[in-house]
Amino acid sequence: MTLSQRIHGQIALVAALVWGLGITNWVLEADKAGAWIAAMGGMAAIWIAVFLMERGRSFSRYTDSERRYFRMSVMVGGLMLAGSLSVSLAETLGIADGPIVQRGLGIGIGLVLILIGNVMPKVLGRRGEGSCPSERSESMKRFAGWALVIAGLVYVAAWFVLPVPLAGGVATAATALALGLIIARGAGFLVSRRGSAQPPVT
Amino acid sequence: MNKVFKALADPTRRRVLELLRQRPMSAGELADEFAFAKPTMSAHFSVLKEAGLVEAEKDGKQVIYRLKLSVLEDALFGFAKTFGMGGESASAGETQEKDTQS
Repeated sequence: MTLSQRIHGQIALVAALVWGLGITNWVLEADKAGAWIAAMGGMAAIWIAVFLMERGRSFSRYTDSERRYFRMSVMVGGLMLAGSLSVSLAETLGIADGPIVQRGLGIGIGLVLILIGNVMPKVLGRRGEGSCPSERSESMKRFAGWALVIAGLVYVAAWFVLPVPLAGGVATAATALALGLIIARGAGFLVSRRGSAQPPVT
Repeated sequence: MNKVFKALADPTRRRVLELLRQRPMSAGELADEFAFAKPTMSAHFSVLKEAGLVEAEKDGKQVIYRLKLSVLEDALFGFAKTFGMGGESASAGETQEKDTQS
């Protein structure tokens, strides 16, 4: 079995879990179809992103630490979706009580964000030679790591202290802001790189 | 974590990390920034490598050092820099000791 098949096999297992839970939730609570579709679509988006990343650079060209981090991020992303769907299912079936479970899940997601952000600058290696000036990619990784850790801390704090209806909004806003800043900075780098790659006007 | 604290406790090693924050540098370039003997600098690089704060990569005859800090280590580095963890005298003593050994 090739490395690519192994990684896609693992993702397929998590995807089957997420989609299974999503469909079960849908059958039991059809009025929340939008939420279940979003969760199942999220897993599909993760898998598509993995395919696209593999087309950009084969898994065999990743360093060991990059591969570990990549796998961990994909698995954790999928398991977070599975966790959310499991909680919803447990609530529907009357097994778990709402607010406490919601807080627990929120804090868990925040901790995962902190964990992923913390190790990101350390384990992600350099991209291919000539793809990006090294100091810039290093600075981008550091920025992304810090942004995710701060978003994770806000996420945990929000679910810890704020009332449940407010916590979700604040936590989501913090994560969206962090992702927005990372994307904006990444886009800025790409634009400036293209600008500097143009031949000088004589 | 102990190794990280030990690595960050020395001002010379913190200065090396600061230089690497600007860009990856060769061992020679880094050594030129300090008045210490090469073996002393080598010892500092070893401590940083052992703590996992930098990674070394061979590029022809040169060894290129690159920063490899997690966010927590970055925060500890900032803290150590701000509060001068370890202090100048401790570092000078340690360096002198290493110079004598080498």
